[in-house]
Amino acid sequence: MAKTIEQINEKIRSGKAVVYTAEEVIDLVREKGVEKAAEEVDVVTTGTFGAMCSSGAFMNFGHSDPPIRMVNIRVNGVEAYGGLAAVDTYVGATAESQTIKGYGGAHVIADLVAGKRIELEAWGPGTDCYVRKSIKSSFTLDELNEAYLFNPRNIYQNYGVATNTSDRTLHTYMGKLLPRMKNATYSSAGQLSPLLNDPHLETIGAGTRIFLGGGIGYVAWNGTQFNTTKPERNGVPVSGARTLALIGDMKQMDGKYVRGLDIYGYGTSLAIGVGVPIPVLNKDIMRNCAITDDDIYANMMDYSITSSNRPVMKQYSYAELKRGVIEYEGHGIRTSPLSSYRNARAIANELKDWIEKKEFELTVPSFKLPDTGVVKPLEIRE
Amino acid sequence: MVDRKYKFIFNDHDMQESITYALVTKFDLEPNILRAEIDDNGGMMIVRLRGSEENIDNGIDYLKQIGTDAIQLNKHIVRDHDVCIDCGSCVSVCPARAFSIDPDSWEIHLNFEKCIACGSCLTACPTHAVTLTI
Repeated sequence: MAKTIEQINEKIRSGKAVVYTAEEVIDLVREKGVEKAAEEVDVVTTGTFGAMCSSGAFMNFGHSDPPIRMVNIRVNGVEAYGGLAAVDTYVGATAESQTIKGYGGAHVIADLVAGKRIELEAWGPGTDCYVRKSIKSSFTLDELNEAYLFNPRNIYQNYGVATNTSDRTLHTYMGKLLPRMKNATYSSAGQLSPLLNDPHLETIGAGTRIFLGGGIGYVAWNGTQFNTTKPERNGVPVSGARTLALIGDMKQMDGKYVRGLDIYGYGTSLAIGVGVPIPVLNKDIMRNCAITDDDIYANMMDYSITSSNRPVMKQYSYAELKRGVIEYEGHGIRTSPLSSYRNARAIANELKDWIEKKEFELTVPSFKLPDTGVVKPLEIRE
Repeated sequence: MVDRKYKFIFNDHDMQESITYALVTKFDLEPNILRAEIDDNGGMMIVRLRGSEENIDNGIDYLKQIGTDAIQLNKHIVRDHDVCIDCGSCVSVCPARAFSIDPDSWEIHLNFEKCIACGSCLTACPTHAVTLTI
């Protein structure tokens, strides 16, 4: 029996919606079967919490008197974009402070969400309508007119497993990789991960309301490097495939779910918590949501190869990766997750709680995200 | 019998002298060398000593007399729970396996007794949640 999103919303409003996390629903489907579970469950909540480098914040400072058209902007010493209207800016997660090592745009965002005061310095050309040429000030999140995250690429649908066959330690965005394959790292919430529970985006589209950093956010667009051509196993891609562009009001966010990262030897990044609700409209969607770590695989690659075209060494399931040691050609390799499964679970539970408390209703997507997407390389032309 | 962990630092000390042999024969201690490094500046050893409290104290006094500094390691590694995001980046880089993941809660645990103060986790942690106090 198929359901509609409007029917599910009516149940949410009357407090009767049945909500499971993507983890909890696994046992239910095992026990009752897909068909019965699809009838019983209205919404499955997912969650993920990890480094999402392609993230950043739009902010509007308000005008000083006399006003300035800011073209060169520093927030806590981090460069923010000066190519927008007078007092609008965008600070990106990976922009780094010139003065404080290991502090970047991600930390500015996290500090703002945590309620801290941020130093502002800006310079402008001085024009007839914006006479001021420089300004020193400071601001908090409350004092900003608008502050919202707009993240061009978040919640990658799966990702690779990184190891290092070389003789020296590598410091990568996949963490610290010890020499001679002494460790391997992976970065997906697996069975809780949003886009692995709706692998072909049957329910998630532009305008889908989500949990973003502890507040309400929306899917704005497909993410950059959106790729629908990656090989699949058990119906889900085995490497980074689809992505989403997300937007959300920073003023609603919770410091617990928005954290600045300093990845040694790589740079700064933003750890952000994202939760996506999946309406169980039919039994196919239910089946997708019941996927387990045993059935989701990821490709291991050697990060000592500097080409972006690294060959696949071996495929591992998340169940294997999460056991802490994987086997490769007769040797054990210790594994580390880079995204927090504990927080992914907390987010799925919090979103579940919002829905059960009638604080969060589902949205019908404004339009479907593309069925096809390929990632083109950049040619070196000189 | 107790277990205590120490960092021995030999600066101007004669490297030829076997201090662990002295601890065994003179003080009836059971040393387990967890880590040892010697470079142009001198050397250091992280050692776990097992024996009676009195013998350990006497052994340490003896080392200090012959010019080896000994610092007891006790909660020498600190993890800030407010800063840690329980990601797990530290787990596989630790040679002493001091970090572990609780398979139920997915919380990261730190067993400071296993830590050999190598500092490998310091560059693995993206939130600077771990500090070494020695």
